[in-house]
Amino acid sequence: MNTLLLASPNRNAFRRWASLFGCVALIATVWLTVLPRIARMPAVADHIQQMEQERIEVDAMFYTELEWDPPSGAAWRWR
Amino acid sequence: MSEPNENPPASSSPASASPATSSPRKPGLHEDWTAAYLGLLILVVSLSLALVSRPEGTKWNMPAAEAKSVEWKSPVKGWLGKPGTWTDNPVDSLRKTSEQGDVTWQWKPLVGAFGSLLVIGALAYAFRADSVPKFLIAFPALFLLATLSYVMAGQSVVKNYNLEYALWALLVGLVIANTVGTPKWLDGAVSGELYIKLGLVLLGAEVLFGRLLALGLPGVCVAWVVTPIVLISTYVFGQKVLKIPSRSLNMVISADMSVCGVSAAIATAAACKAKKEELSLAVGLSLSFTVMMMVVMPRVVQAMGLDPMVGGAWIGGTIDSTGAVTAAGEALGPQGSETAVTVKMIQNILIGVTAFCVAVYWTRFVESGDAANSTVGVSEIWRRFPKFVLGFLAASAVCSAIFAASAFGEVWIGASTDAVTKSLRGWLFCLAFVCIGLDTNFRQLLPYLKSGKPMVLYVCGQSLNILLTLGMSYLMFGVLKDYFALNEYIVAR
Repeated sequence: MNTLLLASPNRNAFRRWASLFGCVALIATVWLTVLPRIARMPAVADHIQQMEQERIEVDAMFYTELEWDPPSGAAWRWR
Repeated sequence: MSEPNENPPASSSPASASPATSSPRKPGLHEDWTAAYLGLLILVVSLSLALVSRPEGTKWNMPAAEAKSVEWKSPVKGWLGKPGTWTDNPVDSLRKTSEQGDVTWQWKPLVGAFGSLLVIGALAYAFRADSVPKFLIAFPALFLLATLSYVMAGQSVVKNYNLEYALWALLVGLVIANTVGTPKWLDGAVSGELYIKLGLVLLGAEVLFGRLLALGLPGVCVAWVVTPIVLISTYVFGQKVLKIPSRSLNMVISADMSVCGVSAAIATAAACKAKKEELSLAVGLSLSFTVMMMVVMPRVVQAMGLDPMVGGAWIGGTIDSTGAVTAAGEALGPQGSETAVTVKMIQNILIGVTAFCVAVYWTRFVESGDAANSTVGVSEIWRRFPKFVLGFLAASAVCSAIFAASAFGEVWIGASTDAVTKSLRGWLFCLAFVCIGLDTNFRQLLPYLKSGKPMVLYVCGQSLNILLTLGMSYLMFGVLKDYFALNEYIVAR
Protein backbone atom coordinates (compact mmCIF):
# COMPACT_ATOMS: atom_id res chain seq x y z
CA MET A 1 0.00 0.00 0.00
CA ASN A 2 2.79 2.40 1.01
CA THR A 3 4.66 1.58 -2.16
CA LEU A 4 1.54 2.32 -4.18
CA LEU A 5 0.99 5.66 -2.46
CA LEU A 6 4.58 6.68 -3.06
CA ALA A 7 4.63 5.48 -6.62
CA SER A 8 1.36 7.10 -7.66
CA PRO A 9 2.47 10.79 -7.68
CA ASN A 10 5.66 9.83 -9.52
CA ARG A 11 3.71 7.91 -12.11
CA ASN A 12 1.35 10.86 -12.44
CA ALA A 13 4.23 13.27 -12.87
CA PHE A 14 5.79 10.97 -15.46
CA ARG A 15 2.50 10.80 -17.34
CA ARG A 16 2.16 14.58 -17.30
CA TRP A 17 5.69 15.16 -18.59
CA ALA A 18 5.23 12.44 -21.21
CA SER A 19 2.04 14.18 -22.38
CA LEU A 20 3.92 17.47 -22.64
CA PHE A 21 6.73 15.92 -24.66
CA GLY A 22 4.16 14.14 -26.84
CA CYS A 23 2.37 17.43 -27.58
CA VAL A 24 5.67 19.23 -28.24
CA ALA A 25 6.77 16.44 -30.57
CA LEU A 26 3.46 16.59 -32.44
CA ILE A 27 3.62 20.39 -32.81
CA ALA A 28 7.27 20.21 -33.90
CA THR A 29 6.43 17.55 -36.49
CA VAL A 30 3.58 19.60 -37.92
CA TRP A 31 5.53 22.87 -38.02
CA LEU A 32 8.90 21.49 -39.10
CA THR A 33 7.83 18.72 -41.46
CA VAL A 34 4.19 18.88 -42.53
CA LEU A 35 3.75 22.65 -43.03
CA PRO A 36 6.99 23.09 -45.04
CA ARG A 37 5.78 20.29 -47.34
CA ILE A 38 2.37 21.92 -47.70
CA ALA A 39 4.14 25.19 -48.50
CA ARG A 40 5.73 23.50 -51.51
CA MET A 41 2.43 22.24 -52.97
CA PRO A 42 1.88 24.16 -56.23
CA ALA A 43 -1.45 25.82 -55.31
CA VAL A 44 -0.24 26.82 -51.85
CA ALA A 45 3.17 27.96 -53.13
CA ASP A 46 1.42 30.16 -55.74
CA HIS A 47 -0.81 31.70 -53.10
CA ILE A 48 2.13 32.40 -50.77
CA GLN A 49 4.21 33.84 -53.59
CA GLN A 50 1.37 36.11 -54.70
CA MET A 51 0.77 37.37 -51.16
CA GLU A 52 4.48 38.04 -50.65
CA GLN A 53 4.88 39.77 -54.01
CA GLU A 54 1.91 42.04 -53.32
CA ARG A 55 3.18 42.59 -49.75
CA ILE A 56 -0.20 41.56 -48.32
CA GLU A 57 -0.23 41.02 -44.56
CA VAL A 58 -2.76 38.16 -44.51
CA ASP A 59 -2.45 37.81 -40.75
CA ALA A 60 -3.39 41.45 -40.09
CA MET A 61 -5.87 41.79 -37.25
CA PHE A 62 -6.58 45.50 -37.85
CA TYR A 63 -6.28 47.79 -40.87
CA THR A 64 -3.26 49.60 -39.37
CA GLU A 65 -1.25 46.38 -39.76
CA LEU A 66 -1.61 46.46 -43.53
CA GLU A 67 1.01 47.98 -45.82
CA TRP A 68 -1.73 50.07 -47.39
CA ASP A 69 -2.44 53.74 -47.60
CA PRO A 70 -6.11 54.20 -46.71
CA PRO A 71 -8.10 56.77 -48.66
CA SER A 72 -8.96 59.86 -46.66
CA GLY A 73 -12.57 60.97 -46.32
CA ALA A 74 -11.81 64.37 -47.83
CA ALA A 75 -10.69 62.73 -51.06
CA TRP A 76 -14.05 61.11 -51.61
CA ARG A 77 -16.08 62.91 -54.21
CA TRP A 78 -19.73 63.37 -53.43
CA ARG A 79 -21.83 64.05 -56.42
CA MET B 1 -35.21 34.79 -20.69
CA SER B 2 -35.38 32.20 -18.03
CA GLU B 3 -32.78 29.58 -18.89
CA PRO B 4 -31.49 28.00 -15.73
CA ASN B 5 -27.88 28.22 -16.93
CA GLU B 6 -28.04 31.81 -18.01
CA ASN B 7 -25.33 34.15 -16.71
CA PRO B 8 -26.33 35.20 -13.24
CA PRO B 9 -26.11 38.84 -12.16
CA ALA B 10 -22.56 39.98 -11.51
CA SER B 11 -23.17 40.37 -7.82
CA SER B 12 -23.96 36.70 -7.51
CA SER B 13 -21.35 35.35 -9.92
CA PRO B 14 -19.76 32.22 -8.58
CA ALA B 15 -16.02 32.32 -8.11
CA SER B 16 -15.69 29.49 -10.55
CA ALA B 17 -17.21 31.54 -13.34
CA SER B 18 -13.73 32.76 -14.25
CA PRO B 19 -14.69 35.70 -16.46
CA ALA B 20 -12.07 36.72 -19.01
CA THR B 21 -12.23 40.32 -18.01
CA SER B 22 -13.45 40.83 -14.45
CA SER B 23 -11.30 40.46 -11.40
CA PRO B 24 -11.85 40.60 -7.66
CA ARG B 25 -11.41 43.91 -5.83
CA LYS B 26 -7.84 44.48 -4.66
CA PRO B 27 -6.30 47.11 -2.41
CA GLY B 28 -4.51 48.91 -5.27
CA LEU B 29 -5.93 50.66 -8.28
CA HIS B 30 -8.70 48.72 -10.05
CA GLU B 31 -7.51 46.79 -13.08
CA ASP B 32 -9.78 48.79 -15.42
CA TRP B 33 -8.37 52.11 -14.26
CA THR B 34 -4.83 50.69 -14.34
CA ALA B 35 -5.32 49.74 -17.99
CA ALA B 36 -6.92 53.10 -18.85
CA TYR B 37 -4.25 55.25 -17.15
CA LEU B 38 -1.31 53.19 -18.31
CA GLY B 39 -2.65 52.88 -21.86
CA LEU B 40 -3.12 56.63 -22.09
CA LEU B 41 0.35 57.20 -20.60
CA ILE B 42 1.89 54.94 -23.27
CA LEU B 43 -0.03 56.87 -25.90
CA VAL B 44 1.22 60.24 -24.61
CA VAL B 45 4.82 58.95 -24.57
CA SER B 46 4.44 57.52 -28.08
CA LEU B 47 2.93 60.74 -29.49
CA SER B 48 5.60 62.85 -27.74
CA LEU B 49 8.44 60.70 -29.10
CA ALA B 50 7.03 61.05 -32.59
CA LEU B 51 6.51 64.79 -32.18
CA VAL B 52 10.06 65.57 -31.02
CA SER B 53 11.48 63.75 -34.02
CA ARG B 54 9.30 65.45 -36.63
CA PRO B 55 11.18 66.24 -39.83
CA GLU B 56 12.53 69.73 -40.49
CA GLY B 57 10.06 72.13 -42.07
CA THR B 58 6.89 70.31 -41.02
CA LYS B 59 4.16 72.59 -39.68
CA TRP B 60 0.72 72.10 -38.20
CA ASN B 61 -0.95 73.86 -41.15
CA MET B 62 1.13 72.34 -43.94
CA PRO B 63 -0.75 71.36 -47.13
CA ALA B 64 -2.03 67.79 -47.38
CA ALA B 65 -0.03 67.03 -50.54
CA GLU B 66 3.19 68.12 -48.81
CA ALA B 67 2.40 66.16 -45.64
CA LYS B 68 1.81 62.97 -47.59
CA SER B 69 5.35 63.02 -48.96
CA VAL B 70 6.95 63.56 -45.52
CA GLU B 71 9.18 60.72 -44.27
CA TRP B 72 8.31 60.84 -40.58
CA LYS B 73 9.73 58.14 -38.35
CA SER B 74 9.55 57.92 -34.59
CA PRO B 75 13.01 57.51 -32.92
CA VAL B 76 11.84 54.14 -31.56
CA LYS B 77 10.80 52.87 -34.98
CA GLY B 78 12.38 49.43 -35.43
CA TRP B 79 12.73 48.92 -31.67
CA LEU B 80 9.38 47.19 -31.31
CA GLY B 81 8.41 44.26 -33.49
CA LYS B 82 7.63 40.59 -33.72
CA PRO B 83 9.38 37.59 -35.30
CA GLY B 84 9.13 37.47 -39.09
CA THR B 85 8.05 34.89 -41.65
CA TRP B 86 9.71 31.52 -42.26
CA THR B 87 9.02 28.37 -44.24
CA ASP B 88 11.46 25.55 -43.34
CA ASN B 89 13.58 26.86 -40.52
CA PRO B 90 12.00 28.78 -37.60
CA VAL B 91 15.32 30.52 -36.95
CA ASP B 92 14.68 32.44 -40.19
CA SER B 93 11.97 34.35 -38.35
CA LEU B 94 14.67 35.98 -36.24
CA ARG B 95 16.97 37.04 -39.07
CA LYS B 96 16.80 38.88 -42.36
CA THR B 97 18.67 37.94 -45.50
CA SER B 98 19.41 40.71 -47.97
CA GLU B 99 19.32 40.22 -51.74
CA GLN B 100 23.14 39.99 -51.62
CA GLY B 101 22.84 37.12 -49.14
CA ASP B 102 23.97 39.06 -46.05
CA VAL B 103 22.31 37.78 -42.89
CA THR B 104 21.40 40.19 -40.08
CA TRP B 105 19.88 39.07 -36.80
CA GLN B 106 16.68 40.85 -35.80
CA TRP B 107 17.18 41.03 -32.03
CA LYS B 108 16.46 44.74 -31.69
CA PRO B 109 12.64 44.57 -32.09
CA LEU B 110 12.38 41.62 -29.67
CA VAL B 111 14.68 43.16 -27.06
CA GLY B 112 12.76 46.45 -27.35
CA ALA B 113 9.40 44.70 -27.01
CA PHE B 114 10.61 42.67 -24.02
CA GLY B 115 12.04 45.72 -22.24
CA SER B 116 8.99 47.90 -22.85
CA LEU B 117 6.51 45.23 -21.80
CA LEU B 118 8.57 44.42 -18.71
CA VAL B 119 8.42 48.07 -17.62
CA ILE B 120 4.73 48.45 -18.55
CA GLY B 121 3.82 45.22 -16.75
CA ALA B 122 5.81 46.16 -13.64
CA LEU B 123 4.08 49.56 -13.54
CA ALA B 124 0.67 47.90 -13.94
CA TYR B 125 1.42 45.43 -11.14
CA ALA B 126 2.64 48.28 -8.93
CA PHE B 127 -0.54 50.32 -9.64
CA ARG B 128 -2.66 47.28 -8.72
CA ALA B 129 -0.60 46.66 -5.58
CA ASP B 130 0.38 43.21 -6.87
CA SER B 131 3.80 41.68 -6.33
CA VAL B 132 6.23 43.31 -8.77
CA PRO B 133 9.17 40.94 -7.95
CA LYS B 134 6.99 37.91 -8.72
CA PHE B 135 6.02 39.55 -12.00
CA LEU B 136 9.66 40.24 -12.87
CA ILE B 137 10.57 36.59 -12.24
CA ALA B 138 7.67 35.16 -14.26
CA PHE B 139 7.47 37.62 -17.15
CA PRO B 140 10.55 36.45 -19.14
CA ALA B 141 9.08 32.94 -19.39
CA LEU B 142 5.69 34.31 -20.43
CA PHE B 143 7.36 36.50 -23.04
CA LEU B 144 9.22 33.45 -24.39
CA LEU B 145 5.92 31.59 -24.77
CA ALA B 146 4.42 34.59 -26.59
CA THR B 147 7.49 34.70 -28.86
CA LEU B 148 7.05 30.99 -29.59
CA SER B 149 3.41 31.68 -30.53
CA TYR B 150 4.49 34.46 -32.89
CA VAL B 151 7.11 32.15 -34.45
CA MET B 152 4.43 29.48 -34.99
CA ALA B 153 2.14 32.10 -36.56
CA GLY B 154 5.00 33.26 -38.82
CA GLN B 155 5.26 29.94 -40.71
CA SER B 156 4.42 30.92 -44.30
CA VAL B 157 1.44 28.55 -44.71
CA VAL B 158 -0.03 29.52 -41.34
CA LYS B 159 0.53 33.22 -41.96
CA ASN B 160 -0.78 33.33 -45.51
CA TYR B 161 -3.97 31.47 -44.61
CA ASN B 162 -4.76 33.89 -41.79
CA LEU B 163 -4.29 31.51 -38.86
CA GLU B 164 -3.48 34.37 -36.51
CA TYR B 165 -1.17 34.27 -33.48
CA ALA B 166 -4.12 34.28 -31.06
CA LEU B 167 -4.83 30.65 -31.93
CA TRP B 168 -1.24 29.51 -31.36
CA ALA B 169 -0.85 31.53 -28.19
CA LEU B 170 -3.93 29.76 -26.86
CA LEU B 171 -2.53 26.39 -27.96
CA VAL B 172 0.84 27.01 -26.28
CA GLY B 173 -0.87 27.92 -23.01
CA LEU B 174 -3.37 25.06 -23.20
CA VAL B 175 -0.65 22.46 -23.82
CA ILE B 176 1.28 23.52 -20.73
CA ALA B 177 -1.79 23.90 -18.51
CA ASN B 178 -3.29 20.55 -19.50
CA THR B 179 -0.14 18.44 -19.29
CA VAL B 180 2.34 19.45 -16.57
CA GLY B 181 0.11 22.26 -15.30
CA THR B 182 0.94 25.95 -15.05
CA PRO B 183 3.86 26.31 -12.62
CA LYS B 184 3.07 28.39 -9.52
CA TRP B 185 5.98 30.77 -10.14
CA LEU B 186 4.58 31.62 -13.60
CA ASP B 187 1.31 32.80 -12.01
CA GLY B 188 3.17 35.95 -11.02
CA ALA B 189 2.76 37.33 -14.56
CA VAL B 190 -0.36 35.46 -15.71
CA SER B 191 -2.87 38.27 -15.98
CA GLY B 192 -4.77 37.86 -19.25
CA GLU B 193 -7.47 40.38 -18.39
CA LEU B 194 -4.95 43.14 -17.72
CA TYR B 195 -3.10 42.54 -21.00
CA ILE B 196 -6.36 42.51 -22.96
CA LYS B 197 -7.62 45.74 -21.41
CA LEU B 198 -4.27 47.49 -21.87
CA GLY B 199 -4.10 46.28 -25.48
CA LEU B 200 -7.63 47.54 -26.10
CA VAL B 201 -6.84 51.03 -24.79
CA LEU B 202 -3.90 51.13 -27.22
CA LEU B 203 -6.16 49.84 -29.99
CA GLY B 204 -8.31 52.94 -29.36
CA ALA B 205 -5.50 55.03 -30.88
CA GLU B 206 -6.02 53.15 -34.15
CA VAL B 207 -9.80 53.66 -34.21
CA LEU B 208 -9.88 56.92 -36.15
CA PHE B 209 -13.32 58.25 -36.91
CA GLY B 210 -11.95 60.36 -39.77
CA ARG B 211 -11.54 57.11 -41.69
CA LEU B 212 -15.30 56.57 -41.56
CA LEU B 213 -16.06 58.57 -44.68
CA ALA B 214 -13.32 56.91 -46.72
CA LEU B 215 -15.92 55.60 -49.14
CA GLY B 216 -18.65 58.07 -48.28
CA LEU B 217 -22.24 56.96 -47.87
CA PRO B 218 -21.90 53.62 -49.71
CA GLY B 219 -19.13 52.46 -47.38
CA VAL B 220 -21.03 53.60 -44.31
CA CYS B 221 -24.17 51.78 -45.49
CA VAL B 222 -22.36 48.48 -46.04
CA ALA B 223 -20.24 48.62 -42.89
CA TRP B 224 -22.40 50.57 -40.45
CA VAL B 225 -25.96 49.68 -41.43
CA VAL B 226 -25.71 45.99 -42.21
CA THR B 227 -23.24 45.19 -39.41
CA PRO B 228 -25.41 46.34 -36.44
CA ILE B 229 -28.47 44.67 -37.99
CA VAL B 230 -26.58 41.37 -38.29
CA LEU B 231 -25.07 41.68 -34.81
CA ILE B 232 -28.40 42.34 -33.09
CA SER B 233 -30.32 39.75 -35.17
CA THR B 234 -27.73 37.06 -34.48
CA TYR B 235 -27.72 37.84 -30.75
CA VAL B 236 -31.54 37.72 -30.59
CA PHE B 237 -31.53 34.49 -32.63
CA GLY B 238 -29.02 32.97 -30.20
CA GLN B 239 -31.14 33.95 -27.20
CA LYS B 240 -34.65 33.27 -28.49
CA VAL B 241 -34.22 30.40 -30.95
CA LEU B 242 -31.04 28.54 -30.05
CA LYS B 243 -31.40 29.43 -26.36
CA ILE B 244 -27.66 29.57 -25.85
CA PRO B 245 -27.15 29.34 -22.09
CA SER B 246 -24.49 32.04 -21.92
CA ARG B 247 -25.47 35.53 -23.11
CA SER B 248 -21.83 36.62 -23.17
CA LEU B 249 -20.82 33.73 -25.46
CA ASN B 250 -23.72 34.62 -27.73
CA MET B 251 -22.63 38.28 -27.81
CA VAL B 252 -18.94 37.55 -28.44
CA ILE B 253 -19.70 35.18 -31.34
CA SER B 254 -22.26 37.62 -32.81
CA ALA B 255 -19.75 40.49 -32.63
CA ASP B 256 -16.72 38.64 -33.98
CA MET B 257 -18.77 37.28 -36.87
CA SER B 258 -20.45 40.58 -37.80
CA VAL B 259 -17.76 43.18 -37.02
CA CYS B 260 -14.13 42.25 -37.57
CA GLY B 261 -13.13 38.88 -36.17
CA VAL B 262 -10.59 38.43 -33.40
CA SER B 263 -10.19 42.12 -32.50
CA ALA B 264 -13.97 42.53 -32.16
CA ALA B 265 -14.18 39.32 -30.12
CA ILE B 266 -11.52 40.62 -27.73
CA ALA B 267 -13.19 44.03 -27.37
CA THR B 268 -16.69 42.60 -26.88
CA ALA B 269 -15.52 39.88 -24.49
CA ALA B 270 -13.91 42.55 -22.35
CA ALA B 271 -16.99 44.77 -22.52
CA CYS B 272 -19.44 42.02 -21.53
CA LYS B 273 -17.06 40.29 -19.11
CA ALA B 274 -17.18 37.01 -21.05
CA LYS B 275 -15.48 33.93 -19.68
CA LYS B 276 -12.03 33.17 -21.05
CA GLU B 277 -13.14 29.89 -22.63
CA GLU B 278 -15.95 31.74 -24.42
CA LEU B 279 -13.44 34.12 -25.97
CA SER B 280 -11.22 31.17 -26.96
CA LEU B 281 -14.15 29.42 -28.63
CA ALA B 282 -15.26 32.54 -30.51
CA VAL B 283 -11.71 33.15 -31.77
CA GLY B 284 -11.35 29.53 -32.90
CA LEU B 285 -14.69 29.61 -34.74
CA SER B 286 -13.94 32.92 -36.41
CA LEU B 287 -10.49 31.89 -37.65
CA SER B 288 -11.74 28.52 -38.98
CA PHE B 289 -14.49 30.13 -41.04
CA THR B 290 -12.25 32.99 -42.15
CA VAL B 291 -9.83 30.57 -43.82
CA MET B 292 -12.68 28.93 -45.73
CA MET B 293 -14.33 32.20 -46.74
CA MET B 294 -11.01 33.72 -47.80
CA VAL B 295 -10.55 30.92 -50.32
CA VAL B 296 -14.18 30.47 -51.43
CA MET B 297 -15.61 33.99 -51.66
CA PRO B 298 -13.44 35.43 -54.47
CA ARG B 299 -14.33 32.37 -56.56
CA VAL B 300 -18.04 32.87 -55.83
CA VAL B 301 -17.78 36.56 -56.81
CA GLN B 302 -16.13 35.59 -60.08
CA ALA B 303 -18.59 32.75 -60.73
CA MET B 304 -21.53 35.14 -60.18
CA GLY B 305 -19.93 37.66 -62.54
CA LEU B 306 -20.29 40.48 -60.00
CA ASP B 307 -18.76 43.90 -60.60
CA PRO B 308 -15.37 43.98 -58.77
CA MET B 309 -16.53 46.83 -56.54
CA VAL B 310 -19.73 45.02 -55.56
CA GLY B 311 -17.71 41.85 -54.92
CA GLY B 312 -15.08 43.80 -53.00
CA ALA B 313 -17.69 45.45 -50.77
CA TRP B 314 -19.33 42.06 -50.21
CA ILE B 315 -16.03 40.47 -49.22
CA GLY B 316 -15.06 43.44 -47.04
CA GLY B 317 -18.36 43.32 -45.20
CA THR B 318 -18.49 39.58 -44.60
CA ILE B 319 -15.04 38.04 -44.08
CA ASP B 320 -14.13 38.52 -40.42
CA SER B 321 -10.42 39.20 -40.50
CA THR B 322 -8.86 42.30 -42.03
CA GLY B 323 -5.85 40.47 -43.47
CA ALA B 324 -8.03 37.77 -45.02
CA VAL B 325 -10.19 40.46 -46.67
CA THR B 326 -7.06 41.92 -48.27
CA ALA B 327 -5.98 38.51 -49.54
CA ALA B 328 -9.44 37.65 -50.89
CA GLY B 329 -9.94 41.10 -52.42
CA GLU B 330 -6.66 40.77 -54.31
CA ALA B 331 -8.24 38.19 -56.62
CA LEU B 332 -10.77 40.83 -57.78
CA GLY B 333 -8.20 43.26 -59.16
CA PRO B 334 -7.26 46.76 -57.94
CA GLN B 335 -10.80 48.20 -57.75
CA GLY B 336 -12.24 45.19 -55.95
CA SER B 337 -9.28 44.96 -53.62
CA GLU B 338 -9.38 48.67 -52.74
CA THR B 339 -13.12 48.54 -52.07
CA ALA B 340 -12.83 45.38 -49.95
CA VAL B 341 -10.08 46.73 -47.70
CA THR B 342 -11.70 50.14 -47.33
CA VAL B 343 -15.05 48.63 -46.33
CA LYS B 344 -13.25 46.44 -43.80
CA MET B 345 -11.38 49.46 -42.44
CA ILE B 346 -14.67 51.32 -41.95
CA GLN B 347 -16.01 48.23 -40.19
CA ASN B 348 -12.86 48.16 -38.00
CA ILE B 349 -13.81 51.62 -36.72
CA LEU B 350 -17.14 50.16 -35.55
CA ILE B 351 -15.26 48.21 -32.91
CA GLY B 352 -15.23 51.23 -30.55
CA VAL B 353 -18.96 51.88 -30.81
CA THR B 354 -19.68 48.15 -30.45
CA ALA B 355 -17.57 47.81 -27.31
CA PHE B 356 -19.19 50.89 -25.76
CA CYS B 357 -22.77 49.86 -26.62
CA VAL B 358 -22.20 46.30 -25.38
CA ALA B 359 -20.71 47.61 -22.12
CA VAL B 360 -23.70 49.92 -21.57
CA TYR B 361 -26.22 47.20 -22.48
CA TRP B 362 -24.52 44.71 -20.19
CA THR B 363 -24.30 46.97 -17.17
CA ARG B 364 -27.79 48.41 -17.69
CA PHE B 365 -29.75 45.25 -18.55
CA VAL B 366 -27.91 41.93 -18.40
CA GLU B 367 -26.10 42.23 -15.08
CA SER B 368 -29.29 43.42 -13.41
CA GLY B 369 -30.72 39.98 -14.13
CA ASP B 370 -34.02 40.95 -15.71
CA ALA B 371 -33.85 43.13 -18.79
CA ALA B 372 -37.53 44.05 -18.81
CA ASN B 373 -37.98 45.13 -15.20
CA SER B 374 -34.59 46.53 -14.43
CA THR B 375 -34.50 49.70 -12.32
CA VAL B 376 -30.76 50.08 -11.95
CA GLY B 377 -29.59 53.51 -10.80
CA VAL B 378 -26.92 55.58 -12.51
CA SER B 379 -24.44 55.02 -9.69
CA GLU B 380 -24.88 51.26 -9.96
CA ILE B 381 -24.41 51.39 -13.73
CA TRP B 382 -21.25 53.44 -13.18
CA ARG B 383 -19.99 50.95 -10.60
CA ARG B 384 -20.47 48.02 -12.98
CA PHE B 385 -19.30 49.78 -16.13
CA PRO B 386 -15.94 48.44 -17.41
CA LYS B 387 -13.90 51.62 -16.98
CA PHE B 388 -11.12 50.63 -19.35
CA VAL B 389 -13.67 51.25 -22.15
CA LEU B 390 -13.41 54.94 -21.20
CA GLY B 391 -9.64 54.76 -21.76
CA PHE B 392 -10.29 53.10 -25.13
CA LEU B 393 -12.78 55.83 -26.10
CA ALA B 394 -10.49 58.62 -24.82
CA ALA B 395 -7.57 57.26 -26.90
CA SER B 396 -9.83 57.04 -29.93
CA ALA B 397 -11.29 60.54 -29.41
CA VAL B 398 -7.89 62.22 -28.91
CA CYS B 399 -6.23 60.48 -31.87
CA SER B 400 -9.30 61.04 -34.09
CA ALA B 401 -9.26 64.76 -33.21
CA ILE B 402 -5.54 65.11 -34.01
CA PHE B 403 -6.02 63.05 -37.17
CA ALA B 404 -8.94 65.17 -38.37
CA ALA B 405 -7.42 68.55 -37.42
CA SER B 406 -4.75 68.71 -40.13
CA ALA B 407 -2.62 66.74 -42.56
CA PHE B 408 0.25 67.16 -40.06
CA GLY B 409 -1.88 65.42 -37.42
CA GLU B 410 -2.63 62.57 -39.83
CA VAL B 411 1.08 61.90 -40.42
CA TRP B 412 1.89 62.36 -36.70
CA ILE B 413 -0.70 59.76 -35.65
CA GLY B 414 0.60 57.44 -38.36
CA ALA B 415 4.22 57.73 -37.13
CA SER B 416 3.20 57.05 -33.52
CA THR B 417 0.96 54.07 -34.33
CA ASP B 418 3.45 52.56 -36.72
CA ALA B 419 6.37 52.70 -34.28
CA VAL B 420 4.80 51.96 -30.91
CA THR B 421 1.13 51.29 -30.27
CA LYS B 422 0.55 48.77 -33.07
CA SER B 423 3.39 46.48 -31.96
CA LEU B 424 2.73 46.80 -28.23
CA ARG B 425 -0.97 46.10 -28.75
CA GLY B 426 -0.10 42.93 -30.70
CA TRP B 427 2.26 41.69 -28.00
CA LEU B 428 -0.26 42.45 -25.25
CA PHE B 429 -2.98 40.44 -27.03
CA CYS B 430 -0.52 37.63 -27.66
CA LEU B 431 0.46 37.55 -23.96
CA ALA B 432 -3.24 37.64 -23.04
CA PHE B 433 -4.03 34.57 -25.14
CA VAL B 434 -1.04 32.68 -23.70
CA CYS B 435 -2.40 33.53 -20.23
CA ILE B 436 -5.94 32.43 -21.18
CA GLY B 437 -4.51 29.12 -22.38
CA LEU B 438 -2.44 28.73 -19.19
CA ASP B 439 -5.60 29.34 -17.17
CA THR B 440 -7.93 27.01 -19.09
CA ASN B 441 -8.70 23.36 -18.63
CA PHE B 442 -9.74 21.48 -21.77
CA ARG B 443 -12.72 20.19 -19.83
CA GLN B 444 -14.05 23.74 -19.51
CA LEU B 445 -14.27 23.91 -23.30
CA LEU B 446 -16.00 20.56 -23.80
CA PRO B 447 -19.59 21.56 -22.86
CA TYR B 448 -19.47 24.35 -25.45
CA LEU B 449 -18.16 22.02 -28.14
CA LYS B 450 -20.61 19.21 -27.29
CA SER B 451 -23.76 21.30 -27.68
CA GLY B 452 -22.77 22.51 -31.17
CA LYS B 453 -24.91 25.63 -30.64
CA PRO B 454 -22.03 28.12 -31.02
CA MET B 455 -21.25 26.69 -34.45
CA VAL B 456 -24.94 26.84 -35.48
CA LEU B 457 -25.11 30.44 -34.25
CA TYR B 458 -22.03 31.39 -36.24
CA VAL B 459 -23.24 29.68 -39.43
CA CYS B 460 -26.76 31.19 -39.23
CA GLY B 461 -25.44 34.67 -38.39
CA GLN B 462 -22.84 34.55 -41.14
CA SER B 463 -25.47 33.39 -43.67
CA LEU B 464 -27.62 36.41 -42.81
CA ASN B 465 -24.52 38.61 -43.02
CA ILE B 466 -23.67 37.24 -46.47
CA LEU B 467 -27.19 37.85 -47.82
CA LEU B 468 -27.71 41.33 -46.38
CA THR B 469 -24.22 42.52 -47.30
CA LEU B 470 -24.65 41.25 -50.85
CA GLY B 471 -27.92 43.17 -51.15
CA MET B 472 -26.48 46.39 -49.75
CA SER B 473 -23.26 46.09 -51.79
CA TYR B 474 -25.26 45.54 -54.96
CA LEU B 475 -27.42 48.58 -54.21
CA MET B 476 -24.63 50.96 -53.19
CA PHE B 477 -21.73 49.82 -55.35
CA GLY B 478 -23.78 48.52 -58.30
CA VAL B 479 -27.11 50.28 -58.81
CA LEU B 480 -26.02 53.63 -57.31
CA LYS B 481 -22.36 53.44 -58.38
CA ASP B 482 -22.68 56.22 -60.96
CA TYR B 483 -24.69 58.41 -58.64
CA PHE B 484 -21.89 58.32 -56.07
CA ALA B 485 -19.17 58.59 -58.77
CA LEU B 486 -17.38 55.69 -57.08
CA ASN B 487 -15.74 54.37 -60.21
CA GLU B 488 -14.05 57.68 -60.82
CA TYR B 489 -12.87 57.90 -57.23
CA ILE B 490 -11.43 54.39 -56.94
CA VAL B 491 -9.64 54.68 -60.29
CA ALA B 492 -8.36 58.16 -59.38
CA ARG B 493 -6.51 56.72 -56.40
